[in-house]
Amino acid sequence: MKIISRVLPFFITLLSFSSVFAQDKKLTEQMETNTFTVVYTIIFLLISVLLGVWASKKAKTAEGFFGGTKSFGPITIGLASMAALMSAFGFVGGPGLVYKLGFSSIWMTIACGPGFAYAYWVLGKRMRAMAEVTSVATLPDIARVRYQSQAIRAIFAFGLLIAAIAYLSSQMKGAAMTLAQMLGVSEKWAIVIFMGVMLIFLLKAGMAASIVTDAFQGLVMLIGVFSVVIGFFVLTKGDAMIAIANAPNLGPKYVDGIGAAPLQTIITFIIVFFVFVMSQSTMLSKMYTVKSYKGLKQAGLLSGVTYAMASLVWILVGYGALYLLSQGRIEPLQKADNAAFVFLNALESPIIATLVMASLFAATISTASYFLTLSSSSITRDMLGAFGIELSQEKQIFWGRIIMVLIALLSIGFAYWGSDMVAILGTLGWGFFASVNFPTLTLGLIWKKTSREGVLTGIILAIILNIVLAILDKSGIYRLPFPYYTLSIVVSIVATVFVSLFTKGASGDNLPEPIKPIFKL
Amino acid sequence: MKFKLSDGAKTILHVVNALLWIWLIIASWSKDEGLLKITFFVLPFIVFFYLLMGIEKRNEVKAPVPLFYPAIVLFIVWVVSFALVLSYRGVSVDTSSFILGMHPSMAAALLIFWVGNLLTTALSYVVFFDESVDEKEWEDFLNEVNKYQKLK
Repeated sequence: MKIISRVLPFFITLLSFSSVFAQDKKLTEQMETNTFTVVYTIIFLLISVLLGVWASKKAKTAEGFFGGTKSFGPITIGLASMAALMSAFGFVGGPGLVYKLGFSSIWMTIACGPGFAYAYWVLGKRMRAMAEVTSVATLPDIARVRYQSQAIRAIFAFGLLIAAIAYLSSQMKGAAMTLAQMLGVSEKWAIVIFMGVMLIFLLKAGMAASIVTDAFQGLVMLIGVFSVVIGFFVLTKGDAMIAIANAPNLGPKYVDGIGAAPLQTIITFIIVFFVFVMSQSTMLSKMYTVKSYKGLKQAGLLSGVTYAMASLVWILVGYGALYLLSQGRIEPLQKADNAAFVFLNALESPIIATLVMASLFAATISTASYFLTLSSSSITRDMLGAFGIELSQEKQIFWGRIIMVLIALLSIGFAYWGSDMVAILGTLGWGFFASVNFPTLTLGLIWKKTSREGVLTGIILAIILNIVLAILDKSGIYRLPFPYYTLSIVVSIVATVFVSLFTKGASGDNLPEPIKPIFKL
Repeated sequence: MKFKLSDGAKTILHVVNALLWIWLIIASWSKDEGLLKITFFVLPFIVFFYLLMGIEKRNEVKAPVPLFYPAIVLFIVWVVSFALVLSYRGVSVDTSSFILGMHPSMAAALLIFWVGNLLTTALSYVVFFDESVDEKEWEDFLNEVNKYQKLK
């Protein structure tokens, strides 16, 4: 506390006076590089590498390398969960949507924060318990053991692989552009540095490195959040909502609790982003990485509270940009995603801009490192295993590293030279994981009657529907009046529940004996 | 105090939730404001039923914790916040009626839904963690699991 009370005032003063360094400039949508930014970025990257290398002592086995299973304390897991779940979208896309629609998109992020502890109440102890029943390294490991089915393992892993690669590819350009701005280098060099750094720590320690660096990146994100909060109140003096409500070009629609999106979209945002936190791979896999079950307690609290703090960026940056518009300080933006950049420029503080840009980059690298490891384990461990090719621990790690490099290169290729299909599939994310993971893992661990046949039906429908609906939606051939992933989630849940009612594979009394005690917890 | 939640009852709750999900899709597809407003009050049931199945142990749910707090409190937080958000939606109120600088509808979303939910889910999980799983239950579980070989 003593250290905090000394450092905090210094930090606030530093941020307040940092505008002295700022040059006189109009509010643009481009950031400028300066020495502080470059130094901060290099230190950030170096610490990430060092932490990743340190984590290698936890990655001696396949379980450690691909899962980090039972290896970490609650603070690391709490921060890492938040960092991995809060992607760059929360720092750029989210504020952009607030600029465009008012409060509507904020429901996603304010539902998600409390959804963490809800997930721990519903599922935490049972996911952690699975690590006592079997050697867990990946989520498909759990599915295989719960349903005694290599088919479910293969299909599940295939689904995760598609979504992970699509996600990685869609993030690649954004990450490179952010890093290029921060270091003042070309986009080509930025991608080499970004991938290089990530691969150094991932090749060394896989998921163990991803978790440790995620926790550090979570801290960096929180520093960014802190500076955004200060920046927002310095800029608006707390009058943002009143100014927006009174502005003739904006009005009450932008400051009420619904915004401009239709009600059906708001309903989807609320329920999908609250309930299905417990179905995100980044979240589920953290539940079995806590060393002791007691660690779930702090991890559940910390992940939700820190995520809620990170949500402030989404809310305040978006409303900060609307405030600037209400004051006539910016022209209406051609591209809503630039809301974050005009807000940062308006603060005229290179230090705040740097801290927030570093947060944005941290959000990207933390999520990307998780998905790169996930893609590698899906092939090396799960899909090969499902086809009867069970590699030894050493070979799994060896091939896991090679596959990681190949997938990294593939993602860069897709990002820069991919077809429109990649851009379309890049939208597979939250909804995809919800529709595949919820029936398989959540229902499977809270309802004994969830059967092998039910889950197979549910996840096959989920994968097909997600891809078909994404193509129809993004190509404009057919658009549902609500986010398309809602339909695939509901179909997969309904199919799993109703097929399970009439089938018995690995359910009820047919559950494997070691799984039965989990349902007594 | 304990309430029974048998395997049969859990199956019924899963079926009910599946039907509520179907309702959500029908209402969303219809784009009918009336149906959609009702759907806001369907959501707390979905959330409550899944939570019930997470907090039950050996086919029983204990009260007052965790049945009343967090589960029923969570349900109330959702209902109250949606009622306020929807009733003030799009209403031009005098800025002197703003709550902590926020439009009443936004204040209901942020202060009741967001903060209320955090105080319900996160706080209850930390304060009443033993109601989720306590040391003896975990030890019993390990003893039972250790009778078997680890599943391959």
